[in-house]
Amino acid sequence: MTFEELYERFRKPVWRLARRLTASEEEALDATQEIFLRVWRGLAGFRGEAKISTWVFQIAWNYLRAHRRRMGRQLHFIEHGSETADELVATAPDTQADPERRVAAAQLLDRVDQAIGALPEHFRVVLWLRDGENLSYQEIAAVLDLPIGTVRSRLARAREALHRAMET
Amino acid sequence: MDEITVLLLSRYVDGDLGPAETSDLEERLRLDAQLQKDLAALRSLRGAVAAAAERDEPPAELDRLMEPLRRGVPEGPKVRPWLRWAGMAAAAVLAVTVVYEVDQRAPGPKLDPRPRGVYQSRAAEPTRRFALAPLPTASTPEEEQPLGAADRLLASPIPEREVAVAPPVLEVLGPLNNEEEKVFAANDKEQPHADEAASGPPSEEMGDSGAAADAGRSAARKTLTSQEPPSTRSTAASTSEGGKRNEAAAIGEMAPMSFDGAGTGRLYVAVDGETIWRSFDPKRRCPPGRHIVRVDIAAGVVVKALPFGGVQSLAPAETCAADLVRGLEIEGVPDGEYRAEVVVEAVGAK
Repeated sequence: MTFEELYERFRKPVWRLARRLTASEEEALDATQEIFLRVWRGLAGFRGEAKISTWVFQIAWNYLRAHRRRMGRQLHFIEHGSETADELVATAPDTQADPERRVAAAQLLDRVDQAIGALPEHFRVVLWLRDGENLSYQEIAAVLDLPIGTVRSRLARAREALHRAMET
Repeated sequence: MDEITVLLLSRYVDGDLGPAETSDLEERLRLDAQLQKDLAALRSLRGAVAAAAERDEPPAELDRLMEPLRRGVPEGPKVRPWLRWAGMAAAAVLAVTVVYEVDQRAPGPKLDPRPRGVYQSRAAEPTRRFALAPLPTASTPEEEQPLGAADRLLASPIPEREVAVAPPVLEVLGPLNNEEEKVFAANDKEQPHADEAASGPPSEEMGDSGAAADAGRSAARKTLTSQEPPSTRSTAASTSEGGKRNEAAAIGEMAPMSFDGAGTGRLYVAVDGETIWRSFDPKRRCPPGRHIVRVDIAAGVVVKALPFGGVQSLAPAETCAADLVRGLEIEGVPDGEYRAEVVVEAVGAK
């Protein structure tokens, strides 16, 4: 796989993860560049021992974790404050729905994003990799270097925490 | 809902339960309406998180910034590498030979490769500051290569003397180290300069390796500082009328620069105590001066350049300088992150 192909395939997932684990869009942009630079450098040495998605997410997570340490603080996701409901409606998949429903759906997604951002980081990253990026438990365990049992329990707790946050 | 049930439901929606556990949970679901609601809510939230991911697009700027890597750098002229080297070497040989011959035949003082200014001997320097990118030495011994003469010319010690300074010019010595910054700061306190306001705070990122022991260079800098303030040792800054002005203002006020041959740019990359450099034609207007940036170099190309301080840095001069060198090819620098210096000179600026 060429770097160009990798970039096309993972630009959105890496950006989304960076966006959720950094404090601002600028930081996420910087982090995404750094991550792809590392991917570019490591591509020649990639021997296919892991799935390519696992490998890329490992690089991303390692960078973002180190970035958090450098920043010396717990990073919090910032809500998509710049996106208006209209903009979200324009990109919403269900374009056939009536306007009220589309607005309601967009608002719901905003709330979900905010609630995810309020989760502790160790919950947030597991939840995002599973439900946002559809990685398997095994892949998440490999990316985060955690036992699979820990991934299961963290994911369950993260979902419960998100559920509660959405109810309030 | 107890923790075990939370875990079971979570695994159930992911299809992670075994047949027996699945059967047990489905039996409970048939009997428990609240559990059914919890399951529905969990599935709904999963869908909402996936939808939130789906709508999240990276900014277009990302593609632009990633362009050098996506192009599969380096992408130079379509000639064989050895032909490229041979061409560059031949050009350099010719230039050095012509300059040297003209200098030797002409009456009067011999060629002094350094810009005129007040300076002291740099003989104490352990290594030359600005090495040319390594050239192939396939068959010719180094001492027989004319480029070796060029190297020696650049590295030759300068006799201690004083020369009338008019006009003040830029002297490039590479990034400062912390000790040198202190010297500058001390000198500035002793000798306030009209242009002081134009210089920003000392850059904390400036060099910290190797050169601390370089007393000769420090001395040279100290002497130089007595005439020019730190961070603004550029022709334009030195000839400005002084007074208070900040960097942002400097962009707007800077002398007219035409880059069709009238402006020059140089990139210096500090590598293991040595500096590798190249010159380039600035493609846009940037404030003249010395700008410290951080560069990522991969396969001989600057794939990333940021002002020191990263994206948080709002210093427009550094940002402008970083933009200038992004995508620039520089031979002889191993892959990695480096502190670098971008020098922009407005030759002939009024």
